[in-house]
Amino acid sequence: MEPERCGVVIGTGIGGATTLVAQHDALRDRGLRAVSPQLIPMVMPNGPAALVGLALRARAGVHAPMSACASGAEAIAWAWRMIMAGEADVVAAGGTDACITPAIMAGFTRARSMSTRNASPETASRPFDAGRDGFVLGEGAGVVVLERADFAAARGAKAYGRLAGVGMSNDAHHITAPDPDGAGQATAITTALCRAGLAAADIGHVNAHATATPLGDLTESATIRRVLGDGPVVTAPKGALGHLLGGSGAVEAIATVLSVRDGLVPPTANLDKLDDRIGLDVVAGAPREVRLTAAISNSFGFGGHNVTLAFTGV
Amino acid sequence: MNSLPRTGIEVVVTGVGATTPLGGDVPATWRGLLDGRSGASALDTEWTRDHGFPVRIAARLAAEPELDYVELKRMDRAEQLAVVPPGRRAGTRTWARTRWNPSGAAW
Repeated sequence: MEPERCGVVIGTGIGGATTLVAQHDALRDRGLRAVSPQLIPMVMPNGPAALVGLALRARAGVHAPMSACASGAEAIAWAWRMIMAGEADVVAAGGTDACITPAIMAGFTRARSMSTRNASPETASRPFDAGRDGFVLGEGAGVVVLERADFAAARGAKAYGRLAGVGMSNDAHHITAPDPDGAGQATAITTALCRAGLAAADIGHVNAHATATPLGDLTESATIRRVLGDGPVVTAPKGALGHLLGGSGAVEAIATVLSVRDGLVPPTANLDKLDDRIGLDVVAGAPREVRLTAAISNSFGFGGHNVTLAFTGV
Repeated sequence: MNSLPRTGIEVVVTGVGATTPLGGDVPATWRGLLDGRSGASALDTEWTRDHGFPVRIAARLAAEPELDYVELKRMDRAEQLAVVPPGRRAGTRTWARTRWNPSGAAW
């Protein structure tokens, strides 16, 4: 593997804010000598990408897209573009976030984005459920290896699936609220399908962004119905995972690839009573066996960012 | 609209890695998803109590990153999580010794 043909794209939503706050406290309480000489590389938002790039000796380019909760998916979309543009043969791409810390929790609390079902943490994240009341903040990371198909075949690599197309758009509507018309989300989906050469009828499964906020889930479900109809089998992994922010899009892309490969869609955890207004075939209770030609994974982020990744089998 | 010129290039996924509230790797995370299991738990900390946080729930990692003391000290937690998948692929717990060859077998 030539390092010059290997790239890395790792996005993050919040990045090193945890370290920044802790180091600020250290400076205030214990003085300059208490501050780590590693502060800058720990705080810079390209830090995760740069560290993975170092480990992989990736010299084709190391990039760090930032689009809040869509960062992990956007990283995968950029990696796809790098390979399609002939800039790299192999790209490790994904997202990471770990900020279950006072300041970030306070910010999401003040924005009234999170569930307050404190008596029952396991059932608090309830995407598409009539009783949903916000997301549960999580931490995590996901990374995929994308390769040119002919490069992978030449070295006998096993492929999990194909990233057939990507779509990225922006609502240009509001800094945090999704456009209730879902126009930007629809553009992301149709662009991904178009670039993949897929028709709406080919999409048998949607891995939804659905964070379990009252408005967000409603907007996404309306967009899915309008663009793809009510046929696709839908799941919302954040019921089980919580919201990993920048990590979400990457981890959910992996789940989507595995669903296509195994013909198995996981249930939406905590979906007891589907909100009447959702109007989609959302899997609840147990996994559903479905033969899938193609599936999409949606990721949306504060800032109006919309990313759709379209996967097919190999 | 939005159509690209045909390049003849196809992109495949040959590796997957993750560390999540459902598990420290992809197989455990996938199993957790299929089981409909929740990764969330109560967040009972001094600061949630002191400041009267109305939200006292979070989905923390199922498995802490396996890194050595120096690496933990020199990386922000988001960075620690990001280097976990390549490190595991390379069969070493220590990121600094990872010289992962992406054209090796899938994660």
